[in-house]
Amino acid sequence: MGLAACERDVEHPLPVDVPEWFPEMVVPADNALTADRIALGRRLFYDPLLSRDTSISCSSCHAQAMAFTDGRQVGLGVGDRAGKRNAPSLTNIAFVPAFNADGGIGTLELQAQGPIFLHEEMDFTIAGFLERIAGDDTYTAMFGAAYGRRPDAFGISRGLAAFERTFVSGGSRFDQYEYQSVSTALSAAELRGRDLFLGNVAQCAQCHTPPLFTTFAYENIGLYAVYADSGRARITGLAQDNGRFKVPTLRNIALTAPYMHDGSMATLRDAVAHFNNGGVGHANQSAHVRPLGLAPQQVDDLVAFLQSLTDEGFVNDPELSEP
Amino acid sequence: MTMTPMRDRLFPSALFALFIVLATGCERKEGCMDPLAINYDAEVETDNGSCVYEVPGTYLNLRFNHRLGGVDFGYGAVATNWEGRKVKFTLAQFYMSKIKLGTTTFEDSYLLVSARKDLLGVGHIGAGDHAGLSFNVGVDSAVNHLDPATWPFDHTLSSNNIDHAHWSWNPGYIFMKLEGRVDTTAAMDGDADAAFSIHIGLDELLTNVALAGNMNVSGDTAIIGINVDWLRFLDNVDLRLERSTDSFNNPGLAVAVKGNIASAFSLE
Repeated sequence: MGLAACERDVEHPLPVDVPEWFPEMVVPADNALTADRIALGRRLFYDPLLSRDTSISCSSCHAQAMAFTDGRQVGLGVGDRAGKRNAPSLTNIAFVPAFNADGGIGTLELQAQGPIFLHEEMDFTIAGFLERIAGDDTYTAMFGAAYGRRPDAFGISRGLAAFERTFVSGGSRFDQYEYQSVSTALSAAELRGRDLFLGNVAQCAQCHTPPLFTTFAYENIGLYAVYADSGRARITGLAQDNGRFKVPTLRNIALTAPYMHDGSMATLRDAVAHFNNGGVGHANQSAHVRPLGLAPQQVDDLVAFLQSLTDEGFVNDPELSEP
Repeated sequence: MTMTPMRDRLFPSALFALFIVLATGCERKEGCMDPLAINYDAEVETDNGSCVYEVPGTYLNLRFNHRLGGVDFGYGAVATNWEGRKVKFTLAQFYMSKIKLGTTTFEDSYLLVSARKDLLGVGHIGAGDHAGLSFNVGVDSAVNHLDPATWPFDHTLSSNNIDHAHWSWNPGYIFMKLEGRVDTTAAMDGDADAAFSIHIGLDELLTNVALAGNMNVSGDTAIIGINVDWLRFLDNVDLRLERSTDSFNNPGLAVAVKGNIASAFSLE
């Protein structure tokens, strides 16, 4: 066999369809996106063999139809063990610089390993999973094609991260209006909500900045006077970080109820009302969170605008569904 | 001088390499790809696990004598702690690093010591007398925060390890896990039925242990015995009041257990 027969060993970057108004997607050097890696990660993402009792997969808490959330207040692990926080949306996860609501994890590859081990999530081990798939020739071939190695933690973590990086969502009606000159894409109410959102009265975009609708900063939004979950302070140990959580993206927000780090708000209207009221006045509360004085109609308009951030193509994309 | 074939350790890799060749149809020269091996071949494209190394000296093993005070360790066995309270363990393990015997430090040797295991290999050392054995309980900060999936498949610190202990939410190894149940009655006359879970980690809780003594090693392999009294880790800890820490959420308990680590070890 000549060299030509071995060309499949060479990695060919697979462009992901990233909207031109998005920032550049940065991918780790050891995990360039390829079709084989994405395919491996896709199978892993939907595989319940990763959980101790084979009852749940990554998709159990991150369902495509709900923009990769689960609709619950907090995630449910094996044995219906309740998690501690609301499952975050994986929308545009490739652009996130730090993971979990407290930002304690620096890479998607590292984050992907965590739920497999966590008692309140999959409560299993990678060793246990590898034992389960030891006789699975398809998996063996997929790991080999993707990473040139037998099934292991490296391939699992990299494969999952590769698939999740394809969760790119920039096809909402807001995108059509804002970046693609489709002037009819938003209704009158949505346009009023857009102006409020981007304007100086509500100042929502100060933290939920387009196009990703987040700055990824950590903010205390005055949910509680005393936080049961210390948020960012759990990582830094700093008092000024108590109650601060990473600003979440608002893309597909209409699909990801309930809201807040603890899932304590059932509806979008509840969340907008909280910001309109200005929070409880926590010592670490963001200066951006203060009484807005919005009229009920303006609250309705803001909610309407947030609903325009839904990307139907994303949540129905067959390439992201269970293989 | 001894010659140590590495095929046992590398056999799974060789099998996989064979698979890849078959799957891709590529014909690659097989042999040893490790420049440190005496049969290294620069033209080899596929390592078939045949590397052979020149290994100087004696291979050192540590044998752990797991104890619960005056009796042998047993999972689920009820023992009596420092204040006479009934305690039983359901999980007991710790990472060991920077093992130093005499003047030789095994820089790359990391052990995951579990009460289920009693003999662990460390590495080669020159034969002769060596004064003093020391080690860290935990993993040094330079290594503690690396992605555990990037270690070789069978490495102690790899997340492939069946006993892998690592905080994913604030990445770093869980240096020590002590889990079990304890009697929490005031009169200490009840059952050991209240759960405790003590997880020690964080760079600042890395603990050095130094054991004095003169140890002679000779031959191909040598064994040094270490007593580990798992009860001593909980000395002066009031398990009625403090039974849980992940080091972050209850640093006081973590620091108290750290303070007991050195005294829990002795040479056999």
